[in-house]
Amino acid sequence: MPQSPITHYAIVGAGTAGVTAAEAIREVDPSGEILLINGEQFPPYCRPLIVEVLKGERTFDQIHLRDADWYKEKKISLLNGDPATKLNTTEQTLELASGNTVRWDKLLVTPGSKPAFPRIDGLEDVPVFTLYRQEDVERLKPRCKPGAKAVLVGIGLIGLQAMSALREMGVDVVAVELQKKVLPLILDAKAAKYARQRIEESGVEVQLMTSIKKTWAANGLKHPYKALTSGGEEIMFDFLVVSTGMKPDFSLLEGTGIQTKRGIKVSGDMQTSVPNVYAAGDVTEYHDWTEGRSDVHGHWVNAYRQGRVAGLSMAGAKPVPYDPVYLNSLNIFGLPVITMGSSRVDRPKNAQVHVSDVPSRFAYTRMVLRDGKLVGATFVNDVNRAGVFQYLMREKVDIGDVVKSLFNREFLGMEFLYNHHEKAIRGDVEWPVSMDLIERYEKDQSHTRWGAKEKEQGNKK
Amino acid sequence: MRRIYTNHLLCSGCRACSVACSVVHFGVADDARGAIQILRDPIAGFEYQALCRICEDPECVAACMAVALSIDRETGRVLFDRDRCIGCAMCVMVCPHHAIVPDRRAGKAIICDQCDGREVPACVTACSTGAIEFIEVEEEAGVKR
Repeated sequence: MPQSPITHYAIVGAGTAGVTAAEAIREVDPSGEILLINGEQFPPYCRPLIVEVLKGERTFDQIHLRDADWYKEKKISLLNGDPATKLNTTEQTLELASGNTVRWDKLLVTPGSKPAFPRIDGLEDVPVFTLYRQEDVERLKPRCKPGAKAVLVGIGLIGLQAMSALREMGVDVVAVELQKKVLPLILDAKAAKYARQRIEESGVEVQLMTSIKKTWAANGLKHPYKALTSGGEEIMFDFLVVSTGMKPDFSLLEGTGIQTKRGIKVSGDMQTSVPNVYAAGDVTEYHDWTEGRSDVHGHWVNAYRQGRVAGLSMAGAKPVPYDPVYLNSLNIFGLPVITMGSSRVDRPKNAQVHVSDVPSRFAYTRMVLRDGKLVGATFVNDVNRAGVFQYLMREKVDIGDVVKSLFNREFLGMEFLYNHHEKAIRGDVEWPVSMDLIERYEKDQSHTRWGAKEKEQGNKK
Repeated sequence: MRRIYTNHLLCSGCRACSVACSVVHFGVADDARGAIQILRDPIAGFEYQALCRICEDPECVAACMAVALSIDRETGRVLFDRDRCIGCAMCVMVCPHHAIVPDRRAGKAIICDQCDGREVPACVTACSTGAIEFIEVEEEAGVKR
């Protein structure tokens, strides 16, 4: 192979997409220079796990994405606490906050998303927190004392995590949600009912179809601040947590010509509209075939997979494009819930809905089929089989005929799954036919029960 | 490396393998906490043995947001760091083989480790019908899917 010049890779953003991409690049290109630009002071960490740190179950040192040695071993230059400020796609350079300029041949942008704030009058007068970055946890943690009271705006994924952490630390929580159900982007009405029940059992006050209109400091009370809800109620609180969703962070892309709509538009190999610039992770917009529209869904599996595809294609390999499906696994105060695809739509068009519901056990399963193919599924409490359905959904397997039996607890239709995995299950083993086993069962008739002799024989086999 | 293969024709569905697995790993005889699970189809008389099939590009590793799962590049096996696991069930959600079970009691995932440290995995020794085999696999033999 002719000696090729060293390629300079730059990765902006060191979330899971960025780190996975760096790993993938190194797999293909052993010599290229990889610069991983991390805007935060703290080395790359598992962002969803910050809530565990808030609860005090982990420390930040325990949620690193990779050990410090790993970056050395893979020869990845990690730049902490120096965010990229300006991107020039014509000259292929990147300006950093420290004033340095980085030249790149291939660039991956994984800026992720930033919290969206609702419009509330007087929000600047009260302590407001989000739960997204490491510094958010460090700011929020000292406030979380037993007896404190928090108002949580928005019951989505982060809201749920926040409230479970706050409750665990003894903080009283009033949670308001603008929509008619909790976790509106994930759950259908029935599942949301179970979720709400579980949330309320844990002591959180849930107010649906409510927003916060105004907040102000009201000194001299038990809790120093007050909020006015759209229902006209005044709530006293110590601090406010905002979890009204995320929006892609486009700040770096201004004036670069990289096409964006809801998120950054990418092709199958994660290239943006500008050559040599790739994007991955929560910032990208992709076609969600389960709902039949383009959307931005921030979630872990997607970020990891996209990061990997982006890394491989940047290094010149031809990766299999990742066809994303929106997947969520939540734990609602001990109630496991898994959803996939178009699970939030209550009355899906042109689709059949199959439901199995055992209220006394909180066990609820719902499947949405379009043309015999699974496009949405919800599992509440009974989650063990979710992976199988995720597979059937991803592979777009026609399960119209067997869906009823797939619902069964005893799982009729396992044969169906077996046929899909036969090679991995049976391998190339030369299996004995059942008749060969007779010898093993032919025992001395005088023995009425298993004795030492059989045990010994069994062990030999 | 060696792998566990199963044959549904020989499986009686007795779940001795699941019990053996939970005994070896957790010291309890609880088939629900075995890394091998037998799923029955009573009408067809079909037994499906669910356990880690060592995928080439494991979904579970991609999905693990606590980075508790990783791939052993030499053997292709999925390695599980139980201390890092937070029990989020992301791996349960993506495993196409029904191979990962949530341990509701401990709040951790349960995944087959081929009984690291034992010569032959517990499920293989426990199987009375020979439906589970532990055999040497050559990478070139095309066993990889």
